[in-house]
Amino acid sequence: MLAATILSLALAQATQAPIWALQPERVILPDGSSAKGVTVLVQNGQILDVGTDLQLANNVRKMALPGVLAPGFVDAFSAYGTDHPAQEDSRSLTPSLRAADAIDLRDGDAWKNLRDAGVTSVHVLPSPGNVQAGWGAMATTGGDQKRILNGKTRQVLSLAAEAVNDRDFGPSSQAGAVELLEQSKPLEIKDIQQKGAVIHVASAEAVRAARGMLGKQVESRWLLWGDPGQYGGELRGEIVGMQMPADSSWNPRQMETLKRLHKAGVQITFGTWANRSARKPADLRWAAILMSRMTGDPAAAMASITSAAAKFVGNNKVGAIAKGRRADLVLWSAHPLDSTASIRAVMIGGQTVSRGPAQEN
Amino acid sequence: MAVSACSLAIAFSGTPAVANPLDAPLSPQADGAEVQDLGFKRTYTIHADSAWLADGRVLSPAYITLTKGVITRISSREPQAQKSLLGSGPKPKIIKVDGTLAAGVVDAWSSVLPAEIRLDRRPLPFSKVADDLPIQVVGADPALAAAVAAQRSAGIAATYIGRADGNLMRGLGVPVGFSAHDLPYAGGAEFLDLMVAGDALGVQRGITDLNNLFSEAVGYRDSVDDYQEELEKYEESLKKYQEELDKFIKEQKKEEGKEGDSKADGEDDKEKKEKKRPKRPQRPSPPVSTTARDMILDAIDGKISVRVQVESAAGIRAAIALQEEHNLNMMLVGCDEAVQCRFELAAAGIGVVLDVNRVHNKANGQRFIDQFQQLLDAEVDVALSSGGRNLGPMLLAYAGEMIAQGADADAVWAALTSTPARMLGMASNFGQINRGCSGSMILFGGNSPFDASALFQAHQPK
Repeated sequence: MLAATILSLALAQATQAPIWALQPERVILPDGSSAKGVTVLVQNGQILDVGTDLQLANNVRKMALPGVLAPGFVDAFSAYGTDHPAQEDSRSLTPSLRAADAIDLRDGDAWKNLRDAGVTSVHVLPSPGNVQAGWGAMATTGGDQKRILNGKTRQVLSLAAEAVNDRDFGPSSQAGAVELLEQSKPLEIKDIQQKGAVIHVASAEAVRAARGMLGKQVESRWLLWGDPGQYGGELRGEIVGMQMPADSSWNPRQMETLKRLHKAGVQITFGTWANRSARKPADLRWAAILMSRMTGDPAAAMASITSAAAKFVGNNKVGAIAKGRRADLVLWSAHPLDSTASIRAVMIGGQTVSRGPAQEN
Repeated sequence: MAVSACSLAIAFSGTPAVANPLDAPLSPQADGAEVQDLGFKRTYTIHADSAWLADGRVLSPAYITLTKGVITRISSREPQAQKSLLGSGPKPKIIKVDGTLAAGVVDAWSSVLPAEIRLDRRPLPFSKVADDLPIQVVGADPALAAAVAAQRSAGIAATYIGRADGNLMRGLGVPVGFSAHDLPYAGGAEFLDLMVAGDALGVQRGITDLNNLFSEAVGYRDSVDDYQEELEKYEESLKKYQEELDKFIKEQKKEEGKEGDSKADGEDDKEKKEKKRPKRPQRPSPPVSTTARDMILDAIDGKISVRVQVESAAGIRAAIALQEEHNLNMMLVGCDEAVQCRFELAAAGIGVVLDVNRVHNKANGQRFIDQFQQLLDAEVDVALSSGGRNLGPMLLAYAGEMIAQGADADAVWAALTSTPARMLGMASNFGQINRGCSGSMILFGGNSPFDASALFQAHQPK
């Protein structure tokens, strides 16, 4: 019996994954600032610890990284992962539909393009064509481990008239959408109070109507349509997803809206989904750079595609380099918001999926 | 950036080498008349950690003095109060800032348009943008002011306003700076805007139309010369006619004096002599000119420069041939295939304005950077621009992406500042930190103006 116990301990030690001490030139901290001399301990795909004065055991493998280590970007509301939109057109209410069922995990160009842009996790949402659209899902963009991190993130509700307008099954207006949602009693959707909701809105009236139906019992995130400059003030203190415009088509009003929403205390996040067509994965970083320039707040801009995006999804395992988080890390040649920076390596769940000039000591 | 971090201890105070642009007429509206008030009033000195000067020099620390929006002193030493027989004057106002000062960006191809053009549904080939610029009064054109404010806060100090509508000929555009009222003012000589674009067939048609435009203008000028000759001939024939007429009248009178002739014979003779009356020569009709044609002739005479929007190699070669044929001052914008003609462009001294958005295109980004570098290697003047779009801060961000993908940082910075200023004829007022230049500058705290992880402010003169 004793011999068997010793043998099993020995086997456990022999199979235990190594601990890596990543020592980059700088690390992006959870508050968006960057610091020198920080060591990041990684084991089994998780961050064991982060600090400047960590005591490293002899068995810890040190790795000096030439560049800035940042958390992998989180695509807060994604258009990637599914070949076909996760939706069911034959009904107007599909609260049980799961976007996870539509995700194609075969490693194609879409996933590679996401990784190449520094995106390590995506929040795939069902199409907002239905007032109750179903559940979102969180997936990693690579790695050999389990790719679906969460098959039921948030319930997607849609009060954006442009999205739900359906002659056959209705509703055809925002008022109709509000009525339909009210009748369907969203608070009775299983798990919604535990997991929260992402609500598509295009007006202050829609925001107020959703608040009236869900109250404070449901943690709500808002996905903004139309001109948020007209109703963004209603979302003071909230976490919102802002659709990015198509390539190079930001206009002064959109930029000013971004600035004023931030000033009003709205936490902004970005995703690649848009109501017209998907945005490119690299646009996430460009949106954050633009936000930094417009608001003068690089930390909030960095958060918009990392920690705030994780809050949008409701996942506390991604979006920051902190103890207990997933080791979804990207090594950049400079700060990711420096547009002259380029990616040197991408690690997802502790596994390096693309490699640059890192050296083991 | 590869600019050397040398510290200059030389004070450049003294009489500015370049005349204050505010003392000169600023726009065609003001030409020969009163100068517009651009709203810059104050004199102050900015004390920054360092400043990027011309030719890659870095001044550290930097004291830049601005007077009515123009840089009047550059030094690494603090300005002192002026002394006189009456004692010391007031100490100059100094504003301490953290970070590095650099010249404001010159966007040689932007989307800023005044209301007169935005709302004009009938673009005329001979319109003049300078005539459509608003007067320098707050509230003159709120939409334009918002667009300019966005440009200024993104670090853009000057741009070019030209009509983006219309086809072959788009009238005269003008380089502009920005006033304290967030309105553009004419800051350089006008350009005749032309365009050759489209697919293969469209380009051929465009080239033909472009050549016809100039050959027709030359034909008109030839017809003016012919008219002069005809006019001289006409005057000679008029003299001859006058002589013949005088002679005829004399003979007529002589005939009338002969009273002995029979009435019937006299009538017959009268008829004969009336038939011989000299015929007055017809004055040649002068060739009729048009404003558009006059603009082309001004370009041929070197009075105005030409700016051609063209993408294809065939179109670029046609533009080069046109430049050689008529000895035009020319710059090109767009120029997707300019690299194929880089040596011809260099030989002709034609600069190109590229659209920086192309680096953002994943498929063609690297090709664009290669093109940029090859054009520079061939010694072609290259400017990077927002490509006629609303890029705002993304102009610098996309240019930074070029550096991330291997472009030379100094070359990219020059292509955003000094090169476009030179191409637009604004080099003495924009594109570098120099005495006499605009005080619209960039203040950055990170590695470079391309770094959005740190402080970035556009200094807008007061």
